[in-house]
Amino acid sequence: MHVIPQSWSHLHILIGVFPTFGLLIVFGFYFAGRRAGDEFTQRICRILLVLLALLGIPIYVSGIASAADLAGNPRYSPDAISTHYFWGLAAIGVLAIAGLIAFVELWRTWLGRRLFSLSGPALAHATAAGSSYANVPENTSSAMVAAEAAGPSYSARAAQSRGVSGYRRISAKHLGTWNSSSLLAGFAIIALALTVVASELGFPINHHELELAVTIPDISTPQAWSHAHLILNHVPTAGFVFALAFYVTALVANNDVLKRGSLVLFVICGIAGVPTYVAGTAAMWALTQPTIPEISKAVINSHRDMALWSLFGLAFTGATSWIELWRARSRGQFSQRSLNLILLFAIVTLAIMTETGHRGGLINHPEIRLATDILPTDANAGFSMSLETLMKDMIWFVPWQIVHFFGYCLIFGTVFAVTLRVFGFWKSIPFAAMHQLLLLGFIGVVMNVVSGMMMMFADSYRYVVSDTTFAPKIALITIGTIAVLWFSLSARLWKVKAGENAPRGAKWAGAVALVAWAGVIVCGRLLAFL
Amino acid sequence: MLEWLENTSFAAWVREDVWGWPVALTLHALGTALVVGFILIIGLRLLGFFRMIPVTSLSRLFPVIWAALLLQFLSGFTLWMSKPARYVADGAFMLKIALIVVGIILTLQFYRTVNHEAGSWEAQGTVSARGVRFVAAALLVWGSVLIAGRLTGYLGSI
Repeated sequence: MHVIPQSWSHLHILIGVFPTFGLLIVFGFYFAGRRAGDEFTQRICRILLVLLALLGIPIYVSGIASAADLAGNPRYSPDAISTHYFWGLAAIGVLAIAGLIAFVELWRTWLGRRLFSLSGPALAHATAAGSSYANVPENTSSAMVAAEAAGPSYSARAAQSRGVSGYRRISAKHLGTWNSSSLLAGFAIIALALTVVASELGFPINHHELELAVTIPDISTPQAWSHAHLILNHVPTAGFVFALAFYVTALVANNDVLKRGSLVLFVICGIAGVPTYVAGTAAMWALTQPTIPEISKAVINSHRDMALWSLFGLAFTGATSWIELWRARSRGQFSQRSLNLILLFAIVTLAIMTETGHRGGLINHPEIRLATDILPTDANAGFSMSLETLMKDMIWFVPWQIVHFFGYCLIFGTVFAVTLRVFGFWKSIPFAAMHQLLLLGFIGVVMNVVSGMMMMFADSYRYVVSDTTFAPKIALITIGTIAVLWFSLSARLWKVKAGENAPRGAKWAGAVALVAWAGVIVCGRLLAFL
Repeated sequence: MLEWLENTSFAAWVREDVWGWPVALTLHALGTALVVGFILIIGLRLLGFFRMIPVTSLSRLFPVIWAALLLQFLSGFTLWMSKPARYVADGAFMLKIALIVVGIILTLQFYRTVNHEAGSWEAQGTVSARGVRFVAAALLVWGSVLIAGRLTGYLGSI
């Protein structure tokens, strides 16, 4: 099998998704950088935006070339291609404008000054002035809070820039609120919306299976699952590429805001792995039962085997990232050894995911196959099929189910205790103590993702497709996990001392977490009945 | 007597209505999470984890356990009365009931010990051997109740 693209279509489907997920992630980091008053992070975001705009060139060229390659093939309708072309061109155009604005901003605030004449202390001043020109922190004290939370090495730099930005705030006010940053944000948001539309309209070119509407009770599966999997799989994969890029930049530049941001992104990729895998399982049933010409269960199984390894990789990277974020909160700094370990996990995980994504692409992209590609043919081969057989045996199933029950006791007990504190029923303890306790809930989540996955193998069609409460359960797990992640990250909540009230935002998060996890238990318990 | 219980209209509703059994079972699952979860939190704190939580504040968590135990009794009784004879004939179920009786007495004593001794534990920075024994026993008993309860669900089919 060839991982390196050897056709225009292959290149196009490989790089075409990066602008959408790249833009989403740039927004996240830009927001984090702005909140922390960190000019470096914002600058990296502008650089990435320029790079995404430049990526538009190979996307455009490969798109045009693949349209020419596919022109005579009856499988690919010219109408679908021209609709995708129209929206794709619009998306690339707006993305180019956003990239241009980002480049001008970079030039004015940093690159131009750096290239011409400025050096030493004058350069430092120029950088700080640049930060105040485009992004005066609205509330300097909140920037300081974030800076303190981010760690000592960071505070010094923030303090230095604070003095300058305080002085420069007046000139920024004169410029008015309509500055190039809002213009950039506007274009980037439009570009994001257009790339979403263009990608969505790219599916009908090749993915004809999504239009199938077979409804045989207890046999068929709605193709909405395949569609959901096609979208969701890019969160952990494309998201992970950006997370790793930001992470390496953070380690090289030793920037704590970027480190924190990319660790959070690793955790989010890990969380997103769960709905992606579940949607993939449903998609497997949708594509194999009843069978669809050209789609082979053996090829799907080889993708599914690798996807299980990806899930473990994502879980390892996400879990170690979360533990490091959690430890750094009380220690005040990251441990270099843990950061290096996470880097190692991330690189291995990315390699596994590349292979997984590639095998996924082989399921239904005949246009990228080469004569030398040998596709698997035995539908019963592989690790996943063996696990399926094993888990159907009660002796294997019941122990995992017991683990699952202990796991949910850990999660719900922790969430309930944290909610008690946040709502003021256990005010005698500081929130920092609750933060320590979050580790218990985290262990519960890891236990249950693993045991839940094992249990799903036993009868995945029944769980994922027949049982109506499974999809809401997975959605609620995602929401509940993100709420708990928020508890572990919030700098303001961390500072709440014994006897003090938690901020209003924490009460909302507490309510969301409690309702989501109670909902998970309810949906899980009802699986057997509805 | 078991027969009379099984023939009450409430038992019939739990058995036959689409919602009766699932609702009781779901409430039972939520209660399980609170009892086992909170026993674990209290136990692990006394074993030396999560040291930022003052030992003296742990007694605040016991009312939640009492409320959850009440919920467990009501929902559990409802589940049991739908087919009492079959449950009584199940070994795992009878073991579970025995363990629950032990567990409740143990937890009451545990609560009294925490209430009386938490101040001195806090002052000394360590938990007495008696306290540690209570923790070990409570974790063991309630963990076993959970496992026996899970096996009860299979009603002798294992």
